Order: sequence, then C-alpha cells, then structure tokens
Amino acid sequence: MRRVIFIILTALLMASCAKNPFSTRESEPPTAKAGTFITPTTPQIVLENLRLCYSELVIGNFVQSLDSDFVFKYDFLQGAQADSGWGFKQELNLTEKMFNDFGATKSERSLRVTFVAQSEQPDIILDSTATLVRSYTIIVADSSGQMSGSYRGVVRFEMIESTSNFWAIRSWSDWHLNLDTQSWAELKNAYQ
Amino acid sequence: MCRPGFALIIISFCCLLHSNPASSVSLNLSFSLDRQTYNWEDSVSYARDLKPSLQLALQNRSTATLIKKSVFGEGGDRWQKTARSSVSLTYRIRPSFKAGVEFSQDFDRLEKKRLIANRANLLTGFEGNHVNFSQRCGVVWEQRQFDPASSSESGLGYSGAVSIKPRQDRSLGRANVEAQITTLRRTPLKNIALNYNFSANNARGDTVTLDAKQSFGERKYFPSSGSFDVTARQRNEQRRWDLHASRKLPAAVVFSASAAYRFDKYDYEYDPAVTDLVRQNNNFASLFEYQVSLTRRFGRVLLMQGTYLYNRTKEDFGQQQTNQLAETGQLGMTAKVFLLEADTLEASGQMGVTSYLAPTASTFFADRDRSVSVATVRMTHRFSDFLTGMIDGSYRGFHAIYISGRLSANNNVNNVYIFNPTLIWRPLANISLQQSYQMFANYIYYEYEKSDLSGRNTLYRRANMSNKLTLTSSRRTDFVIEYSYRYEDFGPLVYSDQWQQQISWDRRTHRPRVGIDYRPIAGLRFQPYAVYEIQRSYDHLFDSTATLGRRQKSEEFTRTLVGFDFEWELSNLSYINCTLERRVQDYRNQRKQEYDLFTISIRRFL
Repeated sequence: MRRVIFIILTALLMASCAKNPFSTRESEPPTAKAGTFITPTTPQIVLENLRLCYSELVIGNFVQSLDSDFVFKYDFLQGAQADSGWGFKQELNLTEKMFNDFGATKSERSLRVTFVAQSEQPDIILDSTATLVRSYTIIVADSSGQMSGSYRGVVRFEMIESTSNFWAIRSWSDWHLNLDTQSWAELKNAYQ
Repeated sequence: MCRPGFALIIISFCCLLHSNPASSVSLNLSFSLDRQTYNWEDSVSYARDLKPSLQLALQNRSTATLIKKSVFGEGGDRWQKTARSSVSLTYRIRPSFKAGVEFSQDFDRLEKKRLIANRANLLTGFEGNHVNFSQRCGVVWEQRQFDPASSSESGLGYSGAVSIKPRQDRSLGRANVEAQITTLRRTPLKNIALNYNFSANNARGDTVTLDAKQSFGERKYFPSSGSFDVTARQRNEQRRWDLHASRKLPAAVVFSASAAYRFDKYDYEYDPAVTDLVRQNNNFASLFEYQVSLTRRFGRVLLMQGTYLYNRTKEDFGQQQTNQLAETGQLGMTAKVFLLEADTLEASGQMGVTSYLAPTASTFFADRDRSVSVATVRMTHRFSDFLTGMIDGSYRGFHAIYISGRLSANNNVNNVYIFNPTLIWRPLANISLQQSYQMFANYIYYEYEKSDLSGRNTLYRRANMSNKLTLTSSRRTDFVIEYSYRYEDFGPLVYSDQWQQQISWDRRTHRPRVGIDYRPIAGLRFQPYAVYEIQRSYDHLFDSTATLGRRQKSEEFTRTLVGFDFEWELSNLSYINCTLERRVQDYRNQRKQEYDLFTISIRRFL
C-alpha cells in the first residue's frame, strides 16, 4: 500500500511540475534590426561581441561570450557586497536583469561600452588561453544623448578556447580606475 | 617590491627550524609575477602544547597584490592587502571541556581605504558523545579610514555553535545551530543558521538523504566607501532543502530521485534623505528542481539510463522589467555497451528546453526559449598490448528563439560537429607515440535570413593534428617531442538552392615543442621545455565575377617560449613548485614583445 501511495505521489508531482523538453514557443515576426554576433575565432572578437551586446541588449549573444566556469572578481564595491565576486549563473542573471531594465526603456536610455587597449599590456594569446587587459568607459545616456551616468576602470579578461568550443571569458577581474569613481562592478552589483 | 614576500619566507623558515615534535607547523607561500601584476598569498599556522592540557596556537593568513602604475595610466602603484592574524591559548579543564582566550586582527587596505578589526574573546568548548558546543564572547573594535574621513566604534561580540548527533549512525539525523551577534553602535550584525541532515540505507542498497538549512541575518553597513555619515540596513533570509532517494525495483531496475528547493530574500533600508547612493532593490529568488532516473544493467554487456530533469526559477527584483521566471525540462538517455574485453562503446543523448518568461505581457522584451540537443559517441578498441585506438564523435545543437518581435531577428540555430580519433602506440617498452586528430565544424543559421545573402549565416571549420613522441632513455629521464598543426577557415554561408561556404579567411599554425622530464631522485622533478610557433593568416578577396577568392597573406606571427617546471615533493603535505617562462612574440605589423611569467609556491607541514 505504501508503495502505491509513493508511486501516485511521485506521478502527481511530475504531472504538476513538468515541462515538455521537445516543444518551443512561436515567435513574432521581427520588427527591429538584428543584433550583431561575430563568431569568436580570436579573443579580441569576444570583446567586440561584449561591447556590441551591451549596446544592443541581446542576452543570447552575451551568454556566448562566457565560459561555463566563468568567475567575476572585483577589487572593492560600494554598497552591499557579495563576497569577492560571483560565478556564471549570477553573472547571467544580473546581466539579463540589466538588459531587461534598459530594454524596457530603450527609447529613453542607452548603454555604451568603450574599450581601449594599453600599450604597456600587450595581449597574451597562447595555444588555448589568452589574457587581455583593457581600460574601459561605460556611458549611460538619455534619449538626447546626454550622459546620465558613467563607470570607468581597468579590466583583465582571461579567456580559454576549449576543444569543443570557441574563445570565451573564463575570468573577468574589474579594477576601479581610482577609488573615487564607480566601476563596472558597481553597475553589475546594482542588479544583484 | 618583493620585500614582504622575502620577509615572510624568512620568518616562516625560522618557525620551521624551531619546531619540535610537541608542535605542528603548516606553511603555505605563493608568489606569482605576470608582467605588471605581482601576487603574494601566504599562510602560517603554528600550534604548540606548552603542557599536556595547555595549547598555544598562532595563525596568519595574508594576500597582497601589486599592480604597477602603468596599468591605470595615472597615480602610483596600487597595493591591495588583506590579512588575518590570531593567537589563542586554550586550557583543557576536563577531557571534554576546554576554555581559553583569543586575540585576532583583520586588516584590509587598498590605497587610502583601510579597515582594521580587532577582537578579544573568551573561548569555551564542550565535546560530548552526542552534543558538541563552542562559543566565543568578547569585545570588538573596528576602525575604518578613507582619507580624510574615518570612523571607529567598539562593542560586544558573540558567536556560538551547538551540534547534536543523537546516534552515531545518523539514523536520527544530525543538527546544528550557529549564531553570531556583534553589538557595534553603527554597524551591528546578527546571524543565525540552523542545519539538519539525515541519511539512512538498508541491506538492499536503498538510500535516503536529507539536508536542510535555514538562516536569518540582519546587519547595518556603510553603503558608500567614501563617507561614514550614512548607514544602510540589510535583512536576509535563506532556505535550502535537498532530498535524495534511490530504490531497487523489480527486474534489476534502480530508481533514483532528487529534489531541491532554494529561497533567498534580501531587504534593504536606506535613509530617504540621502540620494547619491548605490542603492539595491529588495529582492527574492526561489528555485525548485527535481530529477528522476531509471537505470538498468543487462548482464555484463549493456548499461542503460534514462533521466528527466525539471527546474523552475523565479526572481522578484521589485521592478516589473527585471522580474524573471525560467523553466527547464530536460530528457537524457545514456547507453554503455561492453562488447568484448577489448571494446567499449558508449553513447549518450540529451534534449531539453529552457523557457524564460516575463511576469507581465508588457515586459516580455527578452522572453525566449533555448533548446539544446547533445549526442556523443565514444568507442575504444585495444588492438593489442602495443596499440589502442579511440574515436569520439559529438553533436551539439542550440536553438535560440526570442518571442518578442523586437529581438526575434536574432533567432538562430547553432550546430557543432566534432570528430576526434586518437591512436596510442607502444612499439617498444621505452617508446610511446600518441597521435590525435580533431575535426570541428560550426554552422550558424539565422531563421529570418535563410534566403538572404547576409554575412550572418556562417561556417567555421577547424582541424587539429597532434603527434607526441616520448622516449624513455632511463628510469629517470624522458625526452618528449611534439608537433601540432592547426588549420582554420571561416566564411559566410550563401544560400543558392543549397548552402555553400564562401571562405573569408584561413589560418595555419605550426607548433613544434621539445621537452625533458628529469626525475633525479624520488619526489624531485625538473621539466625544461622550448616551443616555437608560427601562424600565418590569409584573407580571401572576391570580386564581382570570381567564384573562388584570391588568397592574400594578411598576418604572420611567430612566438618562442622557453621555460621550466620544477616540483619537489617532500612528503604528502609538503612541496615546492616553481615555474618560469620567457616569451618572445613578433607580429609582422607590430613591435616585438618580450615578457616573463614566474610562479613559486611552497607548502610545508611538520
């Protein structure tokens, strides 16, 4: 009797909480231009994709820039802190919230990321690993193009190319340009 | 700049030299240099029995990072240091009860930003058969500085933990409660966590395990590091439940099921009069997941497993446009066939869909489905004692579907095919040859651009070949010679009755490597190596009439790597590792680049 009850309960649980692993929803016909994603055959292209997906707010393109063992690290944070960084799932969640937030008010606000290479920090690209250091500026602008916020700092990306994939970011270290300015970590942390 | 590292090494070795059997010392030293970034990570712990019932313990853990000023382009070098030091004296009053005192200091510094926290505590601890108990109570003094502002405060601190284990076999479970309270005037802290875990099994191998955790916390903090005028309050609540059960059913079928529940909630309170703060919204996230699987073994030949996974995540971020709901359903099948003693065949497949849903129709900007299909086959055949072959093949398909018309132009199918044969030869006892090949192809199609001549539908192909010859000249020395070659090409797919690739560029890389693996004595290993790499890239230029592009060299790159790895394993817990690499690389259109990479780590336990 107990076995029958167990089987019924299990079946009920599965029936009430299940999702068809084969069916997907229909989409609306496109009403806007597609985002840009370049096949990341070099580490530099990953940064270009990162820059583009921030301005175009396409989360699917952002996901393809991250390795599944991704970690984000920061030097310090203003506001409530999560330890000393976070991993792939948190990065994806907070970026999705950020893109949705900017996407819902796209006509009023925009995000623009600019990377600048450093002459003293040439890119190191080995057989399947790479290290790229860039200084960056993120501008939040309103509909008239006026800057309503900015974030500045230096970022160090460590990337890998696995045998079954393209170049992707394994580790992202964010450093404030100085202690008085806000960096990318503060922009992300506001969506934690 | 290397002085802190050297000082720590000298102090630590003094501790090691003065240790004796009545004391134990553990030492970790790690230093790495990568161009303009220097990292130190060190820890020392020392424990000594002054009398049979009186123990002295010292601990220090520190990390330091130096980033040279050239990275930031302004200001000076940037130092970041964190350290925790503690000293404790404990007296065992009875075999099950001890008491003592502890002093500790936390130090955190980043340029003009500084935090020092000192604690003095009375310790008590009880260790019984079924109950363990420990607590610390004392005073806390914290000083924060962000030039020119500073803040200091003091208060009482308490932390305690009780664990209860009614029976040794855990059949009645095990529970523990941990609490932490700090009564600082401006930044008080309260935390309490309850854990319960239980496991049981029977003679047939059926098992049940349960882990549950619930915690609550409240703290005040300074939301801006540049000022200590304002505090904010955070309240948090976490729940974790994990249940796992497996049972043997008739017909040699094993049924296993697991379920997990997570709940995280954070609330914030800010002073409404202050506007220029990095504020965080009240938020909560919950997750429910279960997985069921059936496994059956058919004799010694076949093992089959079917799995279904369901996952539902809900996040409420206090604003409609950032709230999220995601649901995943995933079905998996695995089959392992053991054909003969020398042959193994393994095949597995998975298929799943994840849907991301917005809570209201007005905010479905990023509503999307993601479908994933994965299939892998692996076959191994041992031809003889001298020759083994393996073949791996896999397929991964991703389908991204955005529901909203604002993003649906990005809907795409991304297919990856990989074929990877490997041969391992051992023609003689002292010669081994490993040959591996890999073919990789990635097709990307955009759903709404199938018939367009857009450059967004692409094909990328990669082929790798690697040969590694190992010559064992003596019991202590191996010579390793490797050569790898890599070919890549990339270009858009053009649809004209059928898909055709138009190559935009190709790239060829040659990479010979020689190395020695020398082991003069047990535990000591020295591996010098040298690598030369040359990569040539070609662009394919098309004009209006050509069907095949004109190939033109666009870039040539060479690199030489010379270095060594040194390992000295003194015992299971003690070792010294050191790596040094010199890299020289030259791009045709850039100046020559030279840099060094150096890492040393020492772990010693006595």
